[in-house]
Amino acid sequence: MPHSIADAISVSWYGWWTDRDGDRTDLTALLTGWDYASRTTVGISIDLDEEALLASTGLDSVDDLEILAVADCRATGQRFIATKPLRGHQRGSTVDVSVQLPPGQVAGTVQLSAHLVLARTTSEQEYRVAFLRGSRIDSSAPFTLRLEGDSGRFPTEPVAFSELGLENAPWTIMTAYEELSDSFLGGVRLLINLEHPVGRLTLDNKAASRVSGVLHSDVIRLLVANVAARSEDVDESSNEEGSVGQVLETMCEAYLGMSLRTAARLYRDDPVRFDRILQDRLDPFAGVTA
Amino acid sequence: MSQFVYPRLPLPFAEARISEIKKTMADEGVSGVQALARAEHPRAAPVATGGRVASSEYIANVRAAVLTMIEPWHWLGAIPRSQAATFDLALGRALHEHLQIVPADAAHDETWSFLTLAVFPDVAVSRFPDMHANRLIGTARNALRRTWFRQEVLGDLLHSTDRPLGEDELVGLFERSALARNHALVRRLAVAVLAYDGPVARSEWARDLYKRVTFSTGPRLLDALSDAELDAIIYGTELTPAPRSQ
Repeated sequence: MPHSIADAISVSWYGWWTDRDGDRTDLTALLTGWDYASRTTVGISIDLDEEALLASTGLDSVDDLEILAVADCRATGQRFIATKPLRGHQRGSTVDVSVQLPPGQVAGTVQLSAHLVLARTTSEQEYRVAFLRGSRIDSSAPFTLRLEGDSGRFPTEPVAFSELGLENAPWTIMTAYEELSDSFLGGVRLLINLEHPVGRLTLDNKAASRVSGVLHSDVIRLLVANVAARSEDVDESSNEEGSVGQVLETMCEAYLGMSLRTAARLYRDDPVRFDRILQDRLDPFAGVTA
Repeated sequence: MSQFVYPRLPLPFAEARISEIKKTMADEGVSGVQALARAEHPRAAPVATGGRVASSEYIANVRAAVLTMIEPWHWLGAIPRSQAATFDLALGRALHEHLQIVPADAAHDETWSFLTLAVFPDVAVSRFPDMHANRLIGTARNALRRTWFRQEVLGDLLHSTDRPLGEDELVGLFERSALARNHALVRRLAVAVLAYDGPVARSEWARDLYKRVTFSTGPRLLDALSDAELDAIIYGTELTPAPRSQ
């Protein structure tokens, strides 16, 4: 940052809450009871240590600051904000800031964040003291709120493969993304073959555990293979929340203990070793011996 | 006016439909694809998440109304490259006006897959005769969706001059998706580009402008700024720090 930011101890961001008819409850990852007609208010509370804040930023007064609550919806391509000026802020009091998710304007997931920023542009200040409106002084950790139930699950489509002209495999992956920055939910599908006995097994709650390990490792292998087959290298810096790149990056780190870039290279250069690592880490046949 | 939600066509069936359209296009051309247009698809269904569901009859009327608005091009079969930008503007306006789609529903690829592959396959292949999948499946680059979204964000700005924003200028505006989700900023940038009358080619000037503004979003959050404050950043008239010795 070209300007000094708040010392970590000077701003405390609490958890996000939702307010329904004056009833405030803590937000969980999935917003229940939501639909396109819902008007939802979400908010966050903040405590400031004013002295530490001013000392670390070089600012004269917290009156010059405001707090922004941001609801960033990648699916609808729109950000919603609300501001809370700190002019007249009472030292030691907790600040609440809330933002509305307007009906019909958000979908899938929204990323919630809150930011302490400069509220107005002033004349130039001392060296490295923020003076331009919007200068970021501190930010909360982002919180991903799922609105639609499916957005937390792997996008799956049970279908008769013969109807699509596909070979009689129990499952397969279908991808329609062009770049890793594209939406994972929009660009990737796990197709389960309703005509295959093993495919049907995965949809049977009582029996699915027998094949879930194999399915799991197969999905990861197919997704990495798909990335490896693309000529371009993986750009790890441009993966937004919910993008193909971000989801696969998370999967590779969690299940293979390596980055997507490393996994794709390994698959390309030494697919046999890739498979050994995959089987070692995921134990896909555990259901067979159980 | 109330807004509607539309059926959604899941990806595997969208892929199958593309195969059908490609084969028809190869055998019979655009007129054959036109005959494939339907207001419904056996594998498409709206989601039950609120909103008024567009009936088949309503969808058929939407198709008729949109085709009327793009009539000068529709009967050409293939959109000439030189008219592609003007066609996109007309299509975006027509879709926006007649679909009356809930933006949350328009956020789903499968909705646009249905609209493109079931309702308007002829329009899509006229615009993109190479039929690349990303123009037909409902992703952000989809033949219909991109025009609708530009209309949704920029509205009448798109039609305000006889020298509208070109494809490069529009792609530059919307491809930086984090920046583009600040609609007020995108609109002020569009105003600036449309008003530019300097010595450098406008698209080149626009590209540099987008880069400069994107750069400023690192240390600053521009979402709460007024139009006047955004303009000050865009035109470089904000206070700038004098060089310091330290």
